[in-house]
Amino acid sequence: MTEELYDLFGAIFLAGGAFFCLGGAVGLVRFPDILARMHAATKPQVFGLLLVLSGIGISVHDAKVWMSLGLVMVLQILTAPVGGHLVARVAYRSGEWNTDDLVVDELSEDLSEAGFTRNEEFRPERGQDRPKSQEPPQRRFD
Amino acid sequence: MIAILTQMFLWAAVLMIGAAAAMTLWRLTAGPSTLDRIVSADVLVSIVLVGIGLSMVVFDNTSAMAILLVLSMVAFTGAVSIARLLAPRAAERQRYRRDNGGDS
Repeated sequence: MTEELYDLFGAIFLAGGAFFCLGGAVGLVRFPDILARMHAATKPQVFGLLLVLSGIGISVHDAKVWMSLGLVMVLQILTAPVGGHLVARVAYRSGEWNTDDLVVDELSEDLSEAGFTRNEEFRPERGQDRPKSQEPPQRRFD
Repeated sequence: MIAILTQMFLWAAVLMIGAAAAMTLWRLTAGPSTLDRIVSADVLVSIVLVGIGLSMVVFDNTSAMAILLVLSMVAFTGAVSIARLLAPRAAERQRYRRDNGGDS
């Protein structure tokens, strides 16, 4: 009886985690630009993975398995922000997103305080973002 | 009764994971920019982690624990390396420019 209850609660946790993963994937398909897609892709994904790992731990209920699962959880929580931060930095600077979608944009204020000026001829559409009046920037090999 | 409920939840989890993997694969192939593809590849790795965990519970076999550990350790390196690779190109098509001609 107790074994069956362990299995049942583990299965409920697994289904919950799979539901969060599904939500992240739906957001990845439906959201309009890369920043919104990153929001959908990282947070529900990590939470769903944590739920699934807890479900495995409840279902197997073994101390050694719990230790490995805790290590996987800690590693996931530590490494997901690293990749997310780098991708978000490149995404912001490549500018493949629409300014009208943002409510606040504090990074642009910080950038303008730091001496960066807005490239007014920028077009968010792909392929048309090079300013026509200037010659293309020199290729640097650094 | 409890066994049937457990089976139902497990099947629901398998179906949802399959649907999530299908949608992520669609974004991976159709994504308009490389960054979309990086993000969806990252999501696909964590969906694979979830699938391995599900198979561990379904087949009652915890020998895949090592795969889970290693995959969670190295999953972020793909996103980091491709983001670093794309950084000079992003600086070329940058939305913000420094006035004195330095790079971003």
